[in-house]
Amino acid sequence: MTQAFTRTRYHAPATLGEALALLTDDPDVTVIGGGTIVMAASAGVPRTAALLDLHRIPGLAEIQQGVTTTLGATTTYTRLLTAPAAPPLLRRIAGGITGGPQIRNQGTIGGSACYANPASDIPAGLVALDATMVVDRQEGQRRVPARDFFAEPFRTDLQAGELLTAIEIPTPPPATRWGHAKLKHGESSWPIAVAVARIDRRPDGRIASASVTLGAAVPTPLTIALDLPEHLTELDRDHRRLIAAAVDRAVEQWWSDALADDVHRRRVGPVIAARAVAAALPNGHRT
Amino acid sequence: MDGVRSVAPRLDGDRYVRGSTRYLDDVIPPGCLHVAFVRSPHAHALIGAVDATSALAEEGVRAVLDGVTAQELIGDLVCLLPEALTGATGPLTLPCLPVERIRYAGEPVAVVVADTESVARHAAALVEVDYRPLPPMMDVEAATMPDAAPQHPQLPGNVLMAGVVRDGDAGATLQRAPHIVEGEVRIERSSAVPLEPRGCIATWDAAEHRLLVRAATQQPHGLRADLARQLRLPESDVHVIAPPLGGAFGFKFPGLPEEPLTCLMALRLRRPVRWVETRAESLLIGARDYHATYQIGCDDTGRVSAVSVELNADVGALCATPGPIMPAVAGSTFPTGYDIADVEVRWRAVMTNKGPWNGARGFGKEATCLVMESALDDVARRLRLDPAEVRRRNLLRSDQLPHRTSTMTLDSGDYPRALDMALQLADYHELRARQRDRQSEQVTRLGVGVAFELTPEGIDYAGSLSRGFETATVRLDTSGHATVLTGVTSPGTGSETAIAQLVAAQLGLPVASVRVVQGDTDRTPYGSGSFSSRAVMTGGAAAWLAAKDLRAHLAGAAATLLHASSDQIDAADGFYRVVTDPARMIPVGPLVNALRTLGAALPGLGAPHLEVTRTYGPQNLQSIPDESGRLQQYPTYSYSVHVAAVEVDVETGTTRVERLAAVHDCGTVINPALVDAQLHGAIAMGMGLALFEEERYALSGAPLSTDFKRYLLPRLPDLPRLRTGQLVSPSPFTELGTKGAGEGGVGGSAAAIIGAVRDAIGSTNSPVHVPLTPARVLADLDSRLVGATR
Repeated sequence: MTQAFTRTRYHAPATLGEALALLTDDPDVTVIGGGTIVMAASAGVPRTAALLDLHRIPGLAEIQQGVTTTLGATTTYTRLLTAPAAPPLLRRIAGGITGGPQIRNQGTIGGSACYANPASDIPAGLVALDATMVVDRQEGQRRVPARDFFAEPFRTDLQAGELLTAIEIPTPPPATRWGHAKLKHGESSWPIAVAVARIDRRPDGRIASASVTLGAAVPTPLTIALDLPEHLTELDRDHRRLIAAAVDRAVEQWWSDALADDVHRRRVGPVIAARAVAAALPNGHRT
Repeated sequence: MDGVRSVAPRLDGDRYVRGSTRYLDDVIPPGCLHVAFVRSPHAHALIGAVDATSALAEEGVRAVLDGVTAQELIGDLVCLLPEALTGATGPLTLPCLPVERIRYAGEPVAVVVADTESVARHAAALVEVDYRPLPPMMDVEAATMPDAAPQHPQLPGNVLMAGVVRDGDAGATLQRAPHIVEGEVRIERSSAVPLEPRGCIATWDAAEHRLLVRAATQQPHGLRADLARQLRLPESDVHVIAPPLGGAFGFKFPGLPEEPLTCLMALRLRRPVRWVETRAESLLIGARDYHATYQIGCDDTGRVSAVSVELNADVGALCATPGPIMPAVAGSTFPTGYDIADVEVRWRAVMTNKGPWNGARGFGKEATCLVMESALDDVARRLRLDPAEVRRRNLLRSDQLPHRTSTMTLDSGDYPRALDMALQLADYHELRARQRDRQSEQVTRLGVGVAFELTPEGIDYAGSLSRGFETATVRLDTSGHATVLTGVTSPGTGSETAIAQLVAAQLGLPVASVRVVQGDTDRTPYGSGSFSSRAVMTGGAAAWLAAKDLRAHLAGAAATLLHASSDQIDAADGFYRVVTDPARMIPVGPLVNALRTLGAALPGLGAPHLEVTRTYGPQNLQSIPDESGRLQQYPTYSYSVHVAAVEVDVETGTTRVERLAAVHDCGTVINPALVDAQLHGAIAMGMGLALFEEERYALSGAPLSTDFKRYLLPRLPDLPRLRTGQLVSPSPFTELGTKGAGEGGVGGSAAAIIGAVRDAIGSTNSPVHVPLTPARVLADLDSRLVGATR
């Protein structure tokens, strides 16, 4: 409490090696992704001893397309919206981020992932896409599946000295269909519930597998396998009810924050999940 | 008023668009010190010693001031509430910093001054205060329990004010009424939240021996008088400048402790001292928090005969702003524009352990609107009548105006016509047809709401700083320009442009040749600043009258110089001409020069009288109670009608406003674009009130809505394209026929949206609870599902 006032230290290394060395040497350092943490710190809390700015490190904001698409950790929402190589689902998610061009130019996919705010868009998207998080440290590199990366609210699997450098997105089979749904309380609200549905079909069109990944309504993103009729092309009221019930059964704990408590999220989370599934079906779009 | 009305571009518009407007926060004088306040983490506590030892040990910390020391150095804040309403003897006073009791979480306890803002904030966290926490009283019920701890020594029961507004005999008429509908409206706490918060920079000018204060304030002259009294300086030795404001809406009235304390530190340290409020600090202030129950009586046709209302306001901790008076205004505005002879409103303003109130656009009248419109919607539902028809059957007709109640004299207008225009603008019949064609099992439901809003404006609150009159000086120069010095300020509304239009029209000058000086106590005459939508009605009229005097003088001089008679002189575009022979003319600049150099010397040329000051106040007021006790504080009665269509998602409880139409009548209009802009802004605020804005508290009394992610404001994409129209019914009681233009729309659009949501989800008699958050909409839906299965 009575620590002396000190200025926040600021580092902007030019290479990944320097950044990793700083992370190892300075345990108090906070990495800047988009800068949410800097905005919070400028209001006085939490006080941050040191900031690590990644923007000088070459290659961290690039998108590379191959068998998997690799997104640099500092890829901005604007890049996701404009780069042809960006996965379409992430482009859609980036388009729904709260805030104007300044936020989209500044906010990054890696920053959002590492902040691990339950009430955000990116984590559920990455889990639904079966992304792999590429984590670097001085001793080397490791890969963590996105579903294991989001350990708990505001905490990831990143260990001391580690830095998220890239996110790998596997290319889904051509017959895979995605559906996305999002709920928020007006334009300035953070998300209350987000859901990404994935439906894979056999060559004859029958549904092979279906799942929905729920975010914002739960502490960490949760993928729920769904048992859908093979020939399903749209959802009627009974289907929606069954999906909602399956989601409700699968969720052990609902997220609660200043904009919506767990009771409300339990009410609307399954609805949004069902809407995501509807959006992944050929005749699913409803008014 | 012919020839004045025009969409003149704003005089300062380019500065706003280019971003070159210099707001308070854009200035940091050299050598400036910075203030941070130590604020209580407890909502209710007794305080003992304040220990600043560790804070003062920090490098860069210049001073720490606590309540005990401050008491010796600075005068109290004085609340200007009528004794008839408070029941206290003499004015209520408050120390700038508490010496005994903490009354809300976030209350300033001590002032820290340091070389930088961050050192000041850091040191503030090091100040140790001996708090002895008490149970917080977070609502009216808790604060009015028999054993509740008094929050002010002069107000033992925590009821700050109470009153009854009565016309006829509502009780007896209700008993006779064929139908009585009961209802309840709860309006959660919200505030005006301008994007620019409060702040001030105080500088002691040792050479001039004067205090210069730059402050984000609506009332520079009022602030100056307060500061002079509190700091024991002659008023003339305090100079207050209000820079352009990033919005005010009632949020920037003086009466809170931060400005006087910042000035005190500048006086003591003989250095410039600066304080700019943080967002979390600005969200400590409230402006609405009401609970109303009502009974409304009507016949089979929906014609209302009586209304009886019980209105409780939770005004938080006492402060010296005009904010706490708003519930009295809410009470006095019943029954708005409806022809209801028997009315009884019992209202109370109660102090609790929430933050204090400052003003907010609507100024209590939005609460009245929400209650009245909810009651009329109830009548429509009970009798299965169209809500628009219920309004039409009860609104006063134009031939009934002026119409007098115990608190108001409604001046002029055509309420039913405004209703018809609004219904037409909204395509009301198309909406209703669409609604009938909807299948009931659809997830989104369409609802339509209609609301009438009365906005009394131009308050003359005798006994306070907020008076209904204004003074203006108009001065001419040899460039042919007129300079207007006015006591009204512009919080960003563009009042300066309308005032320039009036003076230009009167003097025959282009608008661009008029300069308007506002917000500087050294340069402008005394005035009450900006509040109650009266800048043009009063400040504009005073300038108009001053310019009229000058016009006559210039015409006389021109007649002499052009060898004509005064009645032959016409003025336009900066020239005074002989009507019958326009080639004989003189530009205003040389005319002024002639008066300066030859006035009173050349035969026939009058005195060099090139500066006129006039004071103006509107009629239609009873500012001090008459022999029967009748008090009427508002001279003009603007009104508006709003129609909203919403889509409510019954699975998630979210509301999307699809259509909003409004017709507004604020009397004579000087600049239609500026008036329409006011209406647009008010509607956006009404939408926030209806759907989003809420200052929430933890059970401990700690504020939860500390930033714009936790206090949601509507953004542009939340709003539909607005459909607005104007009616013009000049006031017979004001010089220009103008009425207040700045508040209509907050309550009306909110009430129309609320009515539409309730229409969409088929609410019956469930209480209205705003904002209508998704959780509340779902709860309302559930309550009826439970009822239906029984």
